Amino acid sequence: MQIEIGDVSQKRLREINHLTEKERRAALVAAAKAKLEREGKTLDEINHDAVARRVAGFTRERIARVCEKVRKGLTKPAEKPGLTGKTFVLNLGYDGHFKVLGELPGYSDWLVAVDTFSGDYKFTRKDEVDLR
Amino acid sequence: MDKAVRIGKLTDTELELINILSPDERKIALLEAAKKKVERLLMEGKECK
Repeated sequence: MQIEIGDVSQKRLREINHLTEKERRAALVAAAKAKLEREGKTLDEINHDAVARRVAGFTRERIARVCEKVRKGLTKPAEKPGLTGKTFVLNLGYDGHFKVLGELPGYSDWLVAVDTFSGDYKFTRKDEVDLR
Repeated sequence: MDKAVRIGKLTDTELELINILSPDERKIALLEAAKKKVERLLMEGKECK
């Protein structure tokens, strides 16, 4: 497979070409482990931050599209069954009621939900909600 | 212009790890590793094109 390395000059690219694919993988994995250690975070925590940033940047329409797919069962089923259909209120002071449609595909600790009052769709972390 | 490099097959864990690096961080990691390799080869008296 290939990975993006941003803008790089031909000279730099030739330098990188001195490495075998195996050496490139090893260098990247070592750098990633060093980053985790520097930031004092686990891989899960870093991924959660990344999901949060990505989800925060989703447009309303994109959220609705993902939620609709989950609702229609077009994505794989929730990894932790028993959540779908439950309602919850956010622990953040907002008193809307949401119905859980399922999990955010690929991220089992995120939920996709619909606001039963307004019809709005939402992604939220499981630990931020009070499931009923 | 953005570039991509081949890194062969990855395990799921390797992919997850590499995904936490930004493209710039990947570039720096690869350049540093390449520099070390070239230095090592030169020390061993091998030619490095």
